[in-house]
Amino acid sequence: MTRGNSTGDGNNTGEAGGGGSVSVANLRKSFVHGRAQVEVLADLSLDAKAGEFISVVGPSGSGKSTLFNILAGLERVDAGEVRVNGKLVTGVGEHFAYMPQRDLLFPWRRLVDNATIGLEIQGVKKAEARERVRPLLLEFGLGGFESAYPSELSGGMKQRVALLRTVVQQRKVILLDEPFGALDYLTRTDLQLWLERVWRDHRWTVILVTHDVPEAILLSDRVYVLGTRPASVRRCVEIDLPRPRGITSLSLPAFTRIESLILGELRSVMGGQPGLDSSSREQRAPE
Amino acid sequence: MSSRPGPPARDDAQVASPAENALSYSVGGAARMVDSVSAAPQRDQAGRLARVAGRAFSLSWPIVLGTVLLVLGWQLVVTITGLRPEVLPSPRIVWDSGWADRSTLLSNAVPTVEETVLGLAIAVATAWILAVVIDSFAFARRACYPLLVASQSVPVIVIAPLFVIWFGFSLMPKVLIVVIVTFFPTMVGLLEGFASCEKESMRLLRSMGANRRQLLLKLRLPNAMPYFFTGLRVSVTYGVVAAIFGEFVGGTSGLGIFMQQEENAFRTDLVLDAVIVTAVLSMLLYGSTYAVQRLVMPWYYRGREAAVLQEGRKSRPAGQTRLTQ
Repeated sequence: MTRGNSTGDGNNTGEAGGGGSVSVANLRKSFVHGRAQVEVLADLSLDAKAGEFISVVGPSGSGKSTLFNILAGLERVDAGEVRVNGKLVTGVGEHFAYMPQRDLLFPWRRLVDNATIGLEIQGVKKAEARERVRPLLLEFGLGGFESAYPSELSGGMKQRVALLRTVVQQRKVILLDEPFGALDYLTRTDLQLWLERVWRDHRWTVILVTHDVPEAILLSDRVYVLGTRPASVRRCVEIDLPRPRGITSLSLPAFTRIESLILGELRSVMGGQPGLDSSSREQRAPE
Repeated sequence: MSSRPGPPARDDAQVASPAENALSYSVGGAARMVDSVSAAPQRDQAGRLARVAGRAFSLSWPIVLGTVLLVLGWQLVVTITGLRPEVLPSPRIVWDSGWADRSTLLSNAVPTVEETVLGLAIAVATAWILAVVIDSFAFARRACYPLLVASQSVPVIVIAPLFVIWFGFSLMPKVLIVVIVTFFPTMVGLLEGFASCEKESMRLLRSMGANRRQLLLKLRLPNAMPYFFTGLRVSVTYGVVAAIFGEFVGGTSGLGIFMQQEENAFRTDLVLDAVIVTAVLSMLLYGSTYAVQRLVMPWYYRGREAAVLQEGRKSRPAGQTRLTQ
């Protein structure tokens, strides 16, 4: 069911795993902070076609998390609109599946039951939810660990369980919020390469928020560079690197060219001001 | 001299109370020992037995030593001061009379256990209901919580006789006293557990579309379980004492009545026997909370094992990753 949803599936609500197109137009959002009104998002727009993988990079505190909270239905917008498959979306995001930076697996649930929690919330029976998760376990490198508790898993495995929990919810769009940010370099690279491969098989529509520019390039079809607060898109970079991508893609001249382009854009966005990224809501200690 | 047996007898009770503390401490130790034993990976039987014995010894020798020293000190005081057995009987006398009167002790322990267990069961149920209601409704929190805190400041000495007036000499007043004394720590533990829930986890479930009931059942309740058991252990240690206090105030049988009667008969040795039985009961109840916790929260103990096994396991996930690449 999750396999090969490479095209948009119209009004087939809920049943298609991440195959929807998403269009975010002119989002505005501000928070009241004490007496001051802090504008976080100013006229932010971005698009992902069905089955596309896009990334959002930006300095810390540029409102990336706010964007995700809005998409996940946890915050309301002041202005602007979000469309999924062309239809206006309001309220709690039944169209988006959200994966936070920390795995947030529940220690009292076994691996398979952590993966099924989203389905259970949707009202799917436990046995059926397990059946839906089971075929994916091997692909996610979790075969044989179904009954393990999170405390018995490595950091990389926990993160893969968290991704599994996200994709089995059968939402149209998958939101990844710095999914590998808390992992060590080797595990992170390993998972990035793995995710690129799994994504190719499934063609979910993915929006990835990250600080890790090479990660964004390696995985994405398009990278949006946000400016400082209030954030809007400063630059949109198409990544035309051939797929399948792998470890060798990292050393392609095109890769390094794009990387320096994005880094340059980020540096100019931050205006070389150190300290802009301190006191940010988005900075989280990696556990 | 015969006009003063009362106060010395109380002193005796105080002498015995460190023993009680030490003994209940040993149950904690024993329970921990059981944990770590079953936590060990299963290898060959003989090696396992040897390790169990080794663990058992290394964990239990301090309490064995402590008990021996206590009994020796007790004997020393008796020998040096030459106090009469009505004031401070020797350990030997206490043991012998306790063994001789074991059936009476046992038959009096039965109602005490009944009151304690029934009272604790009602207390735990009450704690759960109150905690869920207080946690779910801000109004209930503001309306009830202060009153519940206030209820803990009313001395049981005042309430207990009232209960006897209202409910007579039946099981009811003692059970109620146990409930009043023991529901509070469990309830506070649960409330702390509910409050300790991570905001991010709540957000995650809400992003999945969870309603309040689902948040409670799938996240807040299981998250509160370790706190619940911490509170329960405090409750349980008060349980037996509360039941005995209830019997003191108005009862026809039970360890409290037994103690009172034997104290009036200057049988200090039998009073101490009842104290020891009480301590053993408390220890058993306390230890049983660990057994229940193990059944209810296997994941909690797996986590501790995992810390030990992590090194051995780390190689496996990596291997799995390779397979799928």
